[in-house]
Amino acid sequence: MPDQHQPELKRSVTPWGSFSWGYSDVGADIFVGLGLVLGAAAGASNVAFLFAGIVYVCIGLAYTELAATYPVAGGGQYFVMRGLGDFLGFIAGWAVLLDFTIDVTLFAWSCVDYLSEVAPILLNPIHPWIHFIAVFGLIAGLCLLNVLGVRESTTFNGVVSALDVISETSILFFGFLFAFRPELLVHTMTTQWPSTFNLMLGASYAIISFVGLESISQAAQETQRPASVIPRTSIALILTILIYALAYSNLALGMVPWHQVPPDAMGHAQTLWQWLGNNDNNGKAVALLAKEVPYFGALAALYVPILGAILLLISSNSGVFGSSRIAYAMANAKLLPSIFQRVNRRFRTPAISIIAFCAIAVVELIFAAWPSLDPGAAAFYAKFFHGEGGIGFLGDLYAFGAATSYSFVFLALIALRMNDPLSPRKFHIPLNIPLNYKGERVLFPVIGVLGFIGILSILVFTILTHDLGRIAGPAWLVLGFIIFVIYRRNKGLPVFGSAPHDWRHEQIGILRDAGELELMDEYLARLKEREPARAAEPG
Amino acid sequence: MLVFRAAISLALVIVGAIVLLRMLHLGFGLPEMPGIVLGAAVIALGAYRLRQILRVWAERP
Repeated sequence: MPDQHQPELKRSVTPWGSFSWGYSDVGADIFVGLGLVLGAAAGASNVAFLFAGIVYVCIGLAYTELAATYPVAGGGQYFVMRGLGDFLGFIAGWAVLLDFTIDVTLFAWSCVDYLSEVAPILLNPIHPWIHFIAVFGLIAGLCLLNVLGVRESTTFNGVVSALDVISETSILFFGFLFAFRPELLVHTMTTQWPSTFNLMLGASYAIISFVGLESISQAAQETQRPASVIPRTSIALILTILIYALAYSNLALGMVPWHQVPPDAMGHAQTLWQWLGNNDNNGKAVALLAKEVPYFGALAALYVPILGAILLLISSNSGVFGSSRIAYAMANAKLLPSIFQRVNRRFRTPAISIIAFCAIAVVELIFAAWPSLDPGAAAFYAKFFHGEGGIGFLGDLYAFGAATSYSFVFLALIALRMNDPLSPRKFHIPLNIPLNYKGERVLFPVIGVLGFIGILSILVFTILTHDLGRIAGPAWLVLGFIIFVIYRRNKGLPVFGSAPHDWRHEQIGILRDAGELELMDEYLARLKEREPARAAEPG
Repeated sequence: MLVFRAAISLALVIVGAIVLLRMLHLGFGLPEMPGIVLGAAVIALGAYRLRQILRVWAERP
């Protein structure tokens, strides 16, 4: 628990604010993921999205249950620490931190790509330095916005998320109405089926289209009545994002474009999905797809790049928000130095965390942009990493971080169901097996096991198919491990074991602070029933 | 706001019905399955949201 005199985070996020934090993060993923998946999985892009989407539904359900039960800013890291101990909690949190810092850079990068549709001076292949400076400027601007406070960002997110829901529904409505040819979809799937390697690559990229539910958990500590709000917003988010991802991939494979698709760099004719998935266009695929919807495309060409860019910008903002809150929670739990726990007295935001993780995002930007800025670096990347760089490099790390942290979250879900049956759960994942464990009736989550197998397979796909991701991802974890060992030894805390935690008192405090007083009473009653003497202790 | 949300949900149901009917018209094999799943899922989402909106509408004073 934080120091009594330390300023704490404000509870200023409303139900729509909670949805829009998640939507602005996950909803923007399709703007980046569609092109990457089409480029990798070709005629099976919809299958790649479906597989990743099923895993995502399991992840979403797990997060919904855990975030509603334990509404604290740590999200996945907190659940893993509570279920599996400090060390694995740190690893999960460190992997999520990688994802959030990548999130900042990846979406700022893609935001500039979308803007290049209306301002060609920002085109990365033609003006790489201008592109780099624009992305850097966005990251610096978001850093400042977040240091100033959360409420401004939440309002901004809410408006843009609403506009985007309308826009995406319109693109799909008119696309399926005017341009969708089922026979073309079937033809593309049967003649352009990818190799197993490319299908695995596509599935690992597809999971990045579903990363962001963490944002709802992150916002939980700042959400009003989280146990009631989180399940509502999460389920709406899961369904909306899943449908959009499946719809866009099927539309891209089965749509007849309004205009003739330009030939590729070699002068060969290409189909719509090939055009959307090539290296020049994969960062702005949704804007190009919308432009090719008959009639509606004339209007969409004017506003989708701008709206997409704004949504990507607030997704990048979610990364700044998420990384700082995770670091705050990890410092609170003595997994990171206490400097990350400091809340600025004037703005009541964790300013030091925000600045530190934006700096890491800038380092990632330099690694991603380096090949396009320096021909020598391009040759090095081509020799050792099959030329991966730019958005592909960021996508690699994004997939690695997500798959790693989500794997632990499923294990934590199972562990917490077994070891903490007394905490009231307003939402339960469906499909459970009732068991007796240590004298308590517990519900074993079958979906937790299926989700774990699914996300583990995506982690394996990521390691097998991403040349840079399999080096940079584990390297990030090793760096974190070194920091963790030094910090814990200095503090005299166990490295692989856990520091003593009084989870019961902490849970009471969490529910009280969240305003969930009925749940707190329910929890106290259960404790009293099991251990009358202990429940009567003060505090 | 409710009317607006209802219009979006209705649009989803219509899109889902278009996709589902056209895919079913083509066949019921493995290559058609992603389109059929998509059509059914879009209808389900639209109907779910419409039901929620109607419930809120009915509870209004």
